[in-house]
Amino acid sequence: MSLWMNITLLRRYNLNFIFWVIYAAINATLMLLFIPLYSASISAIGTKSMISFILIGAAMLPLLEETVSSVAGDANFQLWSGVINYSFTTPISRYIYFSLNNISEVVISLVVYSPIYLAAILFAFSYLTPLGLLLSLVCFAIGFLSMLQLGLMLGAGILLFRKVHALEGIIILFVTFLSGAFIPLQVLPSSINYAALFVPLTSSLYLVRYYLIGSSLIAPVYLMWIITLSELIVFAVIAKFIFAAAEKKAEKIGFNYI
Amino acid sequence: MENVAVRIRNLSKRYENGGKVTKALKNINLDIREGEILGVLGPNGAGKTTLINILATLLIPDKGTINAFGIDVLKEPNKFREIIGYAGQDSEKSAYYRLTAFETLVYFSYTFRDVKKEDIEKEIKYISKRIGFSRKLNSQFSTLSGGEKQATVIMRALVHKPRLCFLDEPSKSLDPITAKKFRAFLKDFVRKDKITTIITTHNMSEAEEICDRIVLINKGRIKFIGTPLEFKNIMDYTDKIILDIHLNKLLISKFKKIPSVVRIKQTIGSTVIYTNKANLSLLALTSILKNENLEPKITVKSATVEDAFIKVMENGK
Repeated sequence: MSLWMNITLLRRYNLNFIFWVIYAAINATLMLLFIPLYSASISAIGTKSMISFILIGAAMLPLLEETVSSVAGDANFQLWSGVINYSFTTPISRYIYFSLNNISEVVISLVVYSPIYLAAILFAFSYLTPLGLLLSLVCFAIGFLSMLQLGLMLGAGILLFRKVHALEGIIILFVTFLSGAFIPLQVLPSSINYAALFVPLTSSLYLVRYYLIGSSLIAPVYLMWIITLSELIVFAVIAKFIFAAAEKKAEKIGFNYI
Repeated sequence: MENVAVRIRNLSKRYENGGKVTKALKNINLDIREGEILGVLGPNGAGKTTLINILATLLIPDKGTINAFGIDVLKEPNKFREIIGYAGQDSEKSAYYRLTAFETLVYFSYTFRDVKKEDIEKEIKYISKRIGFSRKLNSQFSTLSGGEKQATVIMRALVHKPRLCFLDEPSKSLDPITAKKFRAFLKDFVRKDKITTIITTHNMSEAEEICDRIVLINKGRIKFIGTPLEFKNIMDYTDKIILDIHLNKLLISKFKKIPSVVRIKQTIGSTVIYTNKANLSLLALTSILKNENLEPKITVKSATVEDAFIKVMENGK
């Protein structure tokens, strides 16, 4: 139903949709300007298609940034409007509700960014295998779910403390520079590479590129998988915990008093 | 004896804010009967919203138990949430404002409740027709007036036909015509489907018109439970006879001798005579006034729930 709502709103404000598509295209084009910089380090990056490498980063980064910020935006709106009071009197779990709202928004975003993904796949087509495509989609989904947990933590943080917007900025900054979407981690010092593995998008993005275009990884593939799955589980547990804390506080003092 | 839908025992709640403790509810005991409309009255800050928010599972009490339709509300809130409807006070913002009223109702009912879409659509059309809202269904929520937004949110609380519905000041922003239609609809709708309804209100005529029973809360304690008629009976008079003149002491003393007159109150330019038998009092009054060659404008008003409310509040009972 959240998806239905978002599609309804998308159709109602189609001018915004056009600007969104333009933004996505500009984003991808600007990222392509980094080709010369990446080319110097092509042996380190080890990819079969530099254009695909960049396009995957260009499409995934804004999408997953949105995953973080849309939950926070939704939590903010619900607190301001009082929708949260209504949703708290219904049997649906708040954690699930926020997740579904977010997933529906990301599904819409996928439509916007789909030409970029298709372009990335097209440039990698000659190297692509069905298994590679499947595994890259699985890694993409896991990466998205991990980022969603960060978004949910932030959303629950807003329910607990009202204003945590600065934290949203910090998370997006880390994701932007340490996920490898913008700057390939292989060209950065190895200590930064290790730190980058704690950013939930990093390992999944590298696995997506690895399975699609054979890019080199910053750790052995099994370790990348362990990190990817562990991050999803750990972040999900933390997000659930913070949500439960927010619900408990709300039930004790009321949302009006948070 | 009617079935008890909700049994509340020893309910207490206090808030702490900056070291200051406010006792919002103190040892509330209340039985709400199945299918009744219960009005919760009280001055601002009396604890009405706290009570309704606890019942609607938005708040947990510090002490006490709530059992509703066999469900321990505090232990199984999610099970209880399946059978309730809720409309809070912040209704003018409480929706996704770029959706239409119809979309809002479909979205919330379908997302949060286990209902069939076609049933919901049918119910939305039925309710909106009854309260004269049909032509506004396709307007965006943001473009609706305060009262129309309120109507949308009230409909949201009712469309899935809950067993128990909580409405916090439902007619607060409604214009008199819509409020009247809403009251008539609510009375009929909740009776037909046996929806136990708890409303908080400052509107005494609303309480009198639609509530089967009223609960008066002040400073976190229940001061009265009973029917609107029983509530009015706490008054020592049944009617007020209002004269638009100021009477002299002699006339006042003559009026006081009329057996059914309880007391007389004079204000600038008017006199209010409180009586137990308006007809008898009127006969005697008009006769005395005629003898004095006085022809004031006479208005007779029955004692209202509002009068009883003011009396209880003034006496601090």
